[in-house]
Amino acid sequence: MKICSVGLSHKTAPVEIREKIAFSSPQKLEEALLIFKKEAAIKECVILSTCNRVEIYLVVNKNSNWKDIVADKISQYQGVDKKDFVEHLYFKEDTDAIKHIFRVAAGLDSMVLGEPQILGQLKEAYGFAAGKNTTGFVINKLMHTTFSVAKRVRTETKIGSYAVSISYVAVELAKKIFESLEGKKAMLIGAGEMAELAAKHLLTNGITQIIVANRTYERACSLAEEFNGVPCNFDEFPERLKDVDIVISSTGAPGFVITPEKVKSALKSRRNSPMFLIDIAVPRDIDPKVNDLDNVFVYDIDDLQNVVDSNLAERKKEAEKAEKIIEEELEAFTGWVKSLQVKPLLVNLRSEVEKVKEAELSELKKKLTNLTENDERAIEAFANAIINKLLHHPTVFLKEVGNSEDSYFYLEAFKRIFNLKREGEEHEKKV
Amino acid sequence: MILQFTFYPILFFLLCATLFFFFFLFTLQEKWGRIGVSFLGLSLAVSFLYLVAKGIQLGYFPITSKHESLIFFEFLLLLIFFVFYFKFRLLMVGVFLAPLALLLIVISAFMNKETSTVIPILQSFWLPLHVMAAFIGNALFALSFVISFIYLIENFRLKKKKFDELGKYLPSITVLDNINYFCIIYGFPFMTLGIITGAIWAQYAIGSYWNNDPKEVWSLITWILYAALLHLRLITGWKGKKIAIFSILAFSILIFSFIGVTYLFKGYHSFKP
Repeated sequence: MKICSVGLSHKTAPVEIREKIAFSSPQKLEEALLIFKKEAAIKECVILSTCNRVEIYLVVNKNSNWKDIVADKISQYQGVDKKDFVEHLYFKEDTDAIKHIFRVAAGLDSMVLGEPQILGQLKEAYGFAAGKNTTGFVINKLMHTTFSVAKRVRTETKIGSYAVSISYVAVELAKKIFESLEGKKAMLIGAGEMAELAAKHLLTNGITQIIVANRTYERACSLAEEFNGVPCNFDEFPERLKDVDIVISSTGAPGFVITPEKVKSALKSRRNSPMFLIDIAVPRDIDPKVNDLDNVFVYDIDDLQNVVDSNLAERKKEAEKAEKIIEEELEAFTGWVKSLQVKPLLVNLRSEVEKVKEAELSELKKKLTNLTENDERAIEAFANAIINKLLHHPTVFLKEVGNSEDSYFYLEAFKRIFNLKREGEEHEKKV
Repeated sequence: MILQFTFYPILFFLLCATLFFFFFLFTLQEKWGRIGVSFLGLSLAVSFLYLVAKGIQLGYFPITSKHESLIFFEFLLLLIFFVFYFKFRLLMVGVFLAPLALLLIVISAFMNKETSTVIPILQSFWLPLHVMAAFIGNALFALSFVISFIYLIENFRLKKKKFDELGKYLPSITVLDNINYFCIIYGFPFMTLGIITGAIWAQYAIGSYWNNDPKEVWSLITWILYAALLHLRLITGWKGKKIAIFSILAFSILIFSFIGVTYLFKGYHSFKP
């Protein structure tokens, strides 16, 4: 019995392959889970399928050729030739597999380092598989541990606390200027994917109104409708500048659209209330001299990108701490896995029982003071006989089931009945 | 004796607070800043005890010597800090305020700590009122001074696009500007009240409202500066950086009229009979 993971991700496979292998609907996911479950060699499985990765976590028989089985099944089900994708797959076993799962859940393997969505996706995938009864004792334990590892990484490192997208950075900067965006107004000049994304982020953070200015008035109207805002003629935008706190500019104009003079007059009308101007256009829309005016803060696309880059570097530093946490947790978990093997468990049981015996014998000797040496030997032999008789059947049973498919279940039950613990388990329980 | 016992703890706690705040600034770990705040709290408590003890000993409001008034001022400064701290949690203010309070206490340590009998000229109901009003105003202006410094730092960082861990502990410039405004708009009436009660008191004690004492003249200059600052803010619509720079300048003049004038010029405000 062993824990394995198979998968491909943005790091190993191009999108053409990923989209072919992805289990993109709940129905497909269910079918695939059941196909895997039907295999004799596969005991438990969970499938995680997102746009950046497809991963299958498995518990398989120790000596099975699980790699071939899984690859064949994927090939059959998705109708993709095996040689087209198998080189993009990674196969991991035991400690490697567990470590990989921990890292994926903590966002350390994600395209955006430390992003939190993957944990939710994994929880969903696990819930789905559990609902279809394709998970069992080991995967359950593994997944719950994985979730707590990911949570530990999130609370003990600052990996998630640095904004790493342009629009998030824009919102964070706005908060550094205005404290809160509640009740603030924004203006969107021009259009474009990034500018619209930034506008959307501002809206979800409390901006009350967006004025949309565009060279074509129809475009302004349709964008305004999308953002629940107000359209504005392109020629009128300088007069409206005084009403807004945040400006996102993204026009295709060859020269500067926003000049110091325009901003100066806006500032005068708004009695120098601070303004935050975001220039997403290339070539730039906002004259950099505007940044020299008091109470005005101009950020162009490069400035925002610099913030993103330095935040990414911070996340990398935090990722190193996360790796340490994962190593710790990995040790605890593999300790648990090892404890589910017959031999160490029996040794453990023997030594526990010996301890009990020694303690009871010395108690007895205190009470019966006039024992001869012969008496003592007889008493000890008597104790040994009882122990051996009592342990005979459990020992035989354990050796028998040790090789069976349900061994994890019995071994865990055995451990609990006799209250046997191994090093590393204390820590694991706390988590 | 209780006085000896309670003065040095103020110095000690402020020293600890300053050290922990510097440590906070150096490591940028919040816990050190919090320890710094706790030490400021202790200094506030022992300052209060010290003033009470002095007051009992004097049988009068403990502001009769330069030493006492500096401690009284430090006490007010910390009190106002905590009022703001509980609302805004601005650890960074403590970083600047702790050394400022420490400086006041160090200066006061070199002054004559002995209590003498209260000089007759000072004995009046107007004295505590005059000093209280003036000091509350000064403490608010001191906070405005500190906040202005932080504003300039944050403004500089935003303009130059600097981002690092320090930014996490710097409040937004809007909050800084608002606090600055609050300090000045409330500090100004207190200062005005201080000058008026001083004039009334002078009328009682000396028989003249205005005596061209250097302190009076410099206080008037400071008052005019803060009046101008308020005017620029409310009527001209200045905000942010200019207000911050002006506030720093005005407070520098205030410090001069508060401490410098006593040594450079002779007048009855120097408390030397």
